[in-house]
Amino acid sequence: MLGLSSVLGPKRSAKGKLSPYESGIPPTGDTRGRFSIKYYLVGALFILFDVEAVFLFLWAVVFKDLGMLAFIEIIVFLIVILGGYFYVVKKGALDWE
Amino acid sequence: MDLSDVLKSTLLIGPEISLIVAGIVLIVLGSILKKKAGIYVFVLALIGLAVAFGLNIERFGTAETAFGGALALDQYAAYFNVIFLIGALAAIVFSKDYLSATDEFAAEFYALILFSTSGMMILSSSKEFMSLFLGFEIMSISVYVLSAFNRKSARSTEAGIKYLILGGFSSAILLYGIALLYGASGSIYLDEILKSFELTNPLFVAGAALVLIGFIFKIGAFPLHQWVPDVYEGAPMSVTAFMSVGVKAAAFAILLRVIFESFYPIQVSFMPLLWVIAVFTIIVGNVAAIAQSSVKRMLAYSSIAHAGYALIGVVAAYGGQVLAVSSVIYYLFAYTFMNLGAFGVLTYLSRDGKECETFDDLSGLWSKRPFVALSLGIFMFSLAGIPPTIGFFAKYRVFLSAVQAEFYWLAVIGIVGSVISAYYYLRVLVYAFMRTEISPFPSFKVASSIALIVLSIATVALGIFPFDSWDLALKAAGTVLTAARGG
Repeated sequence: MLGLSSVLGPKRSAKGKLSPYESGIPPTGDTRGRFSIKYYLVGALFILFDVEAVFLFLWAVVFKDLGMLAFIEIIVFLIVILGGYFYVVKKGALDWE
Repeated sequence: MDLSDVLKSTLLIGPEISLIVAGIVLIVLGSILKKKAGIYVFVLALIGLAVAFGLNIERFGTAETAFGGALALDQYAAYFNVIFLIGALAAIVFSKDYLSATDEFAAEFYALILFSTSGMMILSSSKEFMSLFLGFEIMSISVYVLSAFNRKSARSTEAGIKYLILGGFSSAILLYGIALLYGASGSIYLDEILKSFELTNPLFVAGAALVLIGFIFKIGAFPLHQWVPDVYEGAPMSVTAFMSVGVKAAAFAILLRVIFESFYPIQVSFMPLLWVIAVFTIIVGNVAAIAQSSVKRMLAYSSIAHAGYALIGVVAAYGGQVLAVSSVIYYLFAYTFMNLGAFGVLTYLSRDGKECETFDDLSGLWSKRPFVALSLGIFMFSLAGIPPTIGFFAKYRVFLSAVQAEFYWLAVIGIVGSVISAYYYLRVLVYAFMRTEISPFPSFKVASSIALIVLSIATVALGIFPFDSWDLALKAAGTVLTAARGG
């Protein structure tokens, strides 16, 4: 099936399509550039807190319909996240130097 | 569900909440106090466990459900929770001395053990597949991190990575099974799935099989056992003790609950398969354990064999035999004491980053540390199933249930397996009692010594006077079988 699609499929190449994907911006430099190891730590933390923020967003949209119950639950959720944030700051995970 | 329901359910799951709160406070406290945290975090972890234990005792005798029937806080769950809490307590006490060299992360270590225990407690009481999966993952992810805790050791890191990847696969298979069952029945509640179960519908059969595969991986039974020796050998010693007791008991807890509360209709057709798995688990575990030159790896293979003995009871429980189910529960209870003890002795003898692994490390233990050697003797006799220890009575009940269910060959294979196991357990004692010292032993450790004394007394005393432990196991088995009996 993979072979068939490569034989039969239409091929319309363009400069934009052939260039490596870099989240929509024009590629800069080659792919072998090195990142600081700290970048990965910050990246992982960003994803963690970003996902948690998504829950807050959903809750905020339907805040009035959910009422008190959801409010208390989100407060508990936030306390847990703040504990995590406090831990991250205290451990120095966000200190770049 | 309104606010009062949620509050009521939240109060009912006090044991789990107390562990989670203690864990969160631990990591915050650990990050503030840094290296001075040592004793405070240890005491706080013990307080968290004690509160959870006290609240869990209240669950005996009452059967409640929380969160709209998602969690069943019955005797069955309470009995298993006692096993998990004993495992966590012993692991924390052994770790106190073990971590002394690298106690920079002691708070995280204790917190992860508490989180993992709370996951096991959710798992043992879940009556619905979403909370089941949640408990399963809380338990597993904490244990993945714990097994890679010795960051500077290549083997510990390898153990963590291996466990993470293979465990991730097994979770994915479990989740796929859950998805198929949901697709076929339209519900994630165990009792609803039981009601709409159709043997002719392949979705049900495939879903049930995939779910069971997920549990069998965690148990470490035959076709999916290859990860056990590597992970148990690489992980820090006290983590191995915790994993081999807690994770295994939790997987058995949910295996039994799911089989009897949800997959009861196809239980008969799955039994021959479980028979084969049990037999091969016993054979592979015992035969591979003979050839090991590392005590830690030997105990890892022996834990596979013990999972096989417990599976004998699961096979014999076919048709809803209350004695067989309670024999499995009791076996896991007994295994907790003796296996924690055996790993505890090895933890005691590990010094500053060097684990006590080879048989030579144990040479001359009797002349230098007679009490440690004596407790090691008790645990090894109990693991081999020699009376009057708890290991003998647990094995006796499992084999008896196999005979009562007319699985004679299963009982014979189990007995032959435990005769083989006597060889490698007694070999440890030959080194400990009859050889002379090769390398010096570490100095006296207070907390671990107390834990070893308590565990060895329990191993012998519960063997002679089972007190309520057997009756409570019978009652626990009764609660999980009510659905199967026609409820």
